[in-house]
Amino acid sequence: MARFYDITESAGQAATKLYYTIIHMIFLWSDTIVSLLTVLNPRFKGNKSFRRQVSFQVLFTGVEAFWLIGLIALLCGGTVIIQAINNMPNFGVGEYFGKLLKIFVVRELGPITTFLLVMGRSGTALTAYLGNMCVNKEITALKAMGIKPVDYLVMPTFVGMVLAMICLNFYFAIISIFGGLAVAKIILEIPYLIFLQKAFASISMFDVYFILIKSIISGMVISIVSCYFGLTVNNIREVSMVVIKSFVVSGAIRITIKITILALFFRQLFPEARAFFQ
Amino acid sequence: MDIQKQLNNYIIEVEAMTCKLERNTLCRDVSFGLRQGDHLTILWKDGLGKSTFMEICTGLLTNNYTGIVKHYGKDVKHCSSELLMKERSRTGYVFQNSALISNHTVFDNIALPLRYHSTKTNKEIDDIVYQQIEKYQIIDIQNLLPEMLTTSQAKIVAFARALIVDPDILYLDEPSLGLDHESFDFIVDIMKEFAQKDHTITLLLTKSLSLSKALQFPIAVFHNTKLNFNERSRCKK
Repeated sequence: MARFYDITESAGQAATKLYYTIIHMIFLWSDTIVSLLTVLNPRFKGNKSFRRQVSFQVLFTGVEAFWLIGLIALLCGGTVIIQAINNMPNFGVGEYFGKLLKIFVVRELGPITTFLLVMGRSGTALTAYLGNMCVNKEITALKAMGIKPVDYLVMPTFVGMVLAMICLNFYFAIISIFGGLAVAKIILEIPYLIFLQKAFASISMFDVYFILIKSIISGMVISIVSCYFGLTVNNIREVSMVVIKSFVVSGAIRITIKITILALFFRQLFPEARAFFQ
Repeated sequence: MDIQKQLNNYIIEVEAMTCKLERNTLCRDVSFGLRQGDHLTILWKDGLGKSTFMEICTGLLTNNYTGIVKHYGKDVKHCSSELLMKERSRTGYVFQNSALISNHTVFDNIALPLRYHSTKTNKEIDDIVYQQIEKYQIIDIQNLLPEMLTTSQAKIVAFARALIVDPDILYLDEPSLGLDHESFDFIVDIMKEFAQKDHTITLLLTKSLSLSKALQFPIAVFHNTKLNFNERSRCKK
């Protein structure tokens, strides 16, 4: 039978561990930013592998996920339009399907779906890859050659992941609109022009910035969390565990950041909602 | 005068080092020093912590031991990571398992330290790497990934990578493990060539008597967690 002391001790240990994990992740993030600024300095002549590593990451995270993300975006856009056009007239707001597509798919569903797909596909692969590198002493070999793992592995991954996330999120938004368009034309026989007019008229620069910021935050969270957990592996048995941990923790961090931003800036971001409740 | 002073100083210095891993004592009260031009072979049985000892000597591990490890007169525990990294850019390290980067080809693995540290252009670096590949007779495997290499080939690539930066210090952790006769002779020649250069230092950890005989470096033997020097008192402290 577990004693009260054991439970409090375990809870305390877990809290301490969580605290140190967050602190170390923040340190890794700051080291990565410093490393990036060093590489971007035109007078810096070292680390010539930077571009090669970044392009490899963009290829792996972005280009190879193009078909998968495209298919899901097409399905999301199509499904939302079918449901919207079938049900919205019941509420007397049938003409607002373009706005619904924007709010639901482009602003919310797109970034979160892309985040989950990239985290599940590339983030976990990255954690496993770095974990195996630790086990095979490749990380030690880098250090023995005077190469900082942050400069050589984490920073290019960070840049590649952020770039890939930006591209994938905009790609998702565009494909989801075209998915809706296809459904509207083929199934519901709505003319192209009316659909495109309604869909694009509702998208503003605010939405573009919204997607951009979400992509950058998602890219940063996936790369830093995956690299952090990958680099903490000590033996081969830990690899599978850190892969799961990195997936769960990055999801939790992404949600926490979102809730914090919403709590702090909700009124400034969504003035319509404020007007509605007043 | 300065050069003479530098020659007399220990470049790598280990003082009263005791290392314990969980309940096992790896080594007890080990002291030795290496000056420029010194080459030392340490004979050590398998499975008793050769790689850990080597990582401590190189400053890659700074915990798990008591005592002092100094590089160029400075305690590695108190050196900044920048200084240590800068120093390591002039050292070569051959790992027991070769530790080649798994998603890089042989060419990229050899070019890795130069691409990171050197201020040369990519074209110049590629030329240097190609010369190294020709010297080590690995032209036909230059585009292969490490997983496709045999143990001997991986070891030769690890040597080529360690020596591409023209290092001052060479750390060798069981370099002859899994080598065929031809590769063994080739690697012995490479190590002898390195040792003949002025002011270089070699620290070799091995269990192989044949390798230590072939190289004829001064030998120290680990026995019952103690380091016993058999020859040449210069390395002994």
